[in-house]
Amino acid sequence: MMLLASSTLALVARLANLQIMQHDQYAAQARSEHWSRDKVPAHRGAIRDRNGYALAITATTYDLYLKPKVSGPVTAANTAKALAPLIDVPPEKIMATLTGEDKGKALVAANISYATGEKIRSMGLPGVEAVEKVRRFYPEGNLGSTLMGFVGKDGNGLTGAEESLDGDLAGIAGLLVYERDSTGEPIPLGINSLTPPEAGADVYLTIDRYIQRLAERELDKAMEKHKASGGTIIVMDPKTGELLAMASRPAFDLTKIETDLAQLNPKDSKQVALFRNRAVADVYEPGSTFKIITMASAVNEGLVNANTTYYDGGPVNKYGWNIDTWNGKHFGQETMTQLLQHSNNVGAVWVSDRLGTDRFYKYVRLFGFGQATNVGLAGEGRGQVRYPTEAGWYPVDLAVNSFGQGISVTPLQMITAASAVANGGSLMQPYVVKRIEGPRGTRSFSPVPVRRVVSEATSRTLREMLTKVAEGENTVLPLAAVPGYKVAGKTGTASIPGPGGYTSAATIASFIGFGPSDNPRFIILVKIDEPQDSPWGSLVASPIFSSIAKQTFAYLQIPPTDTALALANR
Amino acid sequence: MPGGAAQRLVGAAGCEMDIAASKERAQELAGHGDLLAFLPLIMAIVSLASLLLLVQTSRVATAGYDIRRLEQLRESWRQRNYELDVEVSRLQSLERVETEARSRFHMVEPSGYVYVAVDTPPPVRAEVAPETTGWDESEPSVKISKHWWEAFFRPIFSR
Repeated sequence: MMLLASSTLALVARLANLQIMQHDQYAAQARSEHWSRDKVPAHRGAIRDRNGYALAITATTYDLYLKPKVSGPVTAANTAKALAPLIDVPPEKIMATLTGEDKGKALVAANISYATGEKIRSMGLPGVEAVEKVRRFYPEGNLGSTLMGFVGKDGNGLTGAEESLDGDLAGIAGLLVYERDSTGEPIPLGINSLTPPEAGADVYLTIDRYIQRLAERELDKAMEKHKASGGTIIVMDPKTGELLAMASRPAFDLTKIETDLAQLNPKDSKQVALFRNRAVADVYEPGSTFKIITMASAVNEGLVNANTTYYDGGPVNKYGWNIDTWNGKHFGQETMTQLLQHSNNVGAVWVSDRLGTDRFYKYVRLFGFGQATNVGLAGEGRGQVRYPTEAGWYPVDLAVNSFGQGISVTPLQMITAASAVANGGSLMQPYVVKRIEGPRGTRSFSPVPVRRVVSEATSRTLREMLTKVAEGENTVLPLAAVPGYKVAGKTGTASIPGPGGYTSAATIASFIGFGPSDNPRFIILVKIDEPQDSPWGSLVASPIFSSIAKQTFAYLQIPPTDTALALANR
Repeated sequence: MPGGAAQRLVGAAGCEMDIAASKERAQELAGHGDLLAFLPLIMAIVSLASLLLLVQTSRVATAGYDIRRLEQLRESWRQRNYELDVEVSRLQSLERVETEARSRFHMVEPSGYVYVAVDTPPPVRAEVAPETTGWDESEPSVKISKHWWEAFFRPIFSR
């Protein structure tokens, strides 16, 4: 009797423990087994160029796998017969895989259309597995890879515009809550509720796919011709700050991104560097292209004009450092325009002396060096400027900074600053997104003037001076000229600093130019890293500018200034 | 004997009571008879209600399956649209356009550009009258009836 009573008491206690004390825990477990909450992924928006052509676009496809030895030969034959016409694979091949040696499931067809994949899945063929896969397609191939970036396996943007604009592109995932049976399948008459996903927005870049391809082709050709270690080409509308093209090399291949990522070794800096957008992330010493900034500052301060002369009597010594011209030649008395045409370092030092430390660095700051441009792309560099108030600045820095050494800038900063000189004096914020069209409406982006840097008059003077530099008689090599058109620009050949000072042989050859000179529609920065055949910007970068400018004039339907000359150079 | 007379009296009284109980019983039975008469009706109502519930449940189930099928169909069409977007983009790609231009139309890159300088100014763009929509906005010739009987009798009386 006692035994019965104590057993009953124990049973009651256990029941009380389960149903009262542990109620919440078991109730939660029951709910989790009974209710299922599935995330419904949103369709990722497309990245398009300024004219609406898709550069990256998403669609759902199926990959088809076969598992050997799941069925007998007769069933396998029937499966092969049913499957072959759907995936355009010979039935013999399917049969061989299904009846062959069991080495795990084998991929027999990739990127099958959604409808075909669904059909195959509904057929329930033994040994056949159709796996749904959301894929990012690149209709223009590897165009603008470092600019656009890529998405990871989970569909999130990892670099470039895919990363920077992920919030707009990704959309909002939906949620499906439903009752499920013991096998995990939804109960047909059970309660279910779906919060539908919201598709991501389509992003329209300011990039023009034609100009982008033009820039990339020219860059690839130059890389091969000059056996360069890298390079960047940026094309921009100087009046608005819209980026029309942004190419950098070396770069990863968008069309092979899945396999490349699978083989990526994160510790290999060379491999990782392929994913960097060098146009916004890398810094370099701009060399003589920086003379545009030095000269614009002095003209704007009223210290010099195009015809102001100075005397170049040989190398100058500044605080113990000997500063010479790039080729050791000296020109005696020359004008400011000739200074730019000869790319005279001694002259640049003379101009910086007239400007003085305060005014020179005031303009360096005004032109936006040492600050991010806020272009809206991930990984943007700020450059490196040593100001007189900072530790590590030496008086000689003013002299060498005047011709673009001892100061580091990003290619994007440099072209943005040069745009201000070309467009009438306003520093424009560069931007890469033209508009975003999504389920919640359209957002358009307008040009943003940051500040006025130089006057209209200064801009006009510099445009005229730089036109003479690009195509004038006194220019060392007028390889930047475009027959029939007036273009303006400046070469740059910069030494590359290393841990032990400047390397002797390696240079960065560059050119910044715009056209038409009097009313610029585009500005182009060409930067070639470590060209092996010639170190000079005039020989390496100027012809690239000329080629891109010539084709861009035609593409943008800009009539030539001199029709006769254009016809003569057919 | 007075005791015997009393028993008879009691017997007579008991008999009277039996008759009263029988009458009440009879009345009760008559009431049950009314209930029994309604029983088939109640059963019919219950059956009908059950049938309706069954039909309703069945219809809900069918509709549920239909909704699911239509949702799958809608998803399938949506995915097809995305696929077509990809296809259109591929066909519009610069690489494909260039390949087609070179291989099918035997086009080559221009070696230069011809610009024709003309002295005469470009023609002034003529003002074009806005296109009509083709919609006749005049009063309709046939007056539309306001009442249903007018519409009903018009074919009979009008020629």
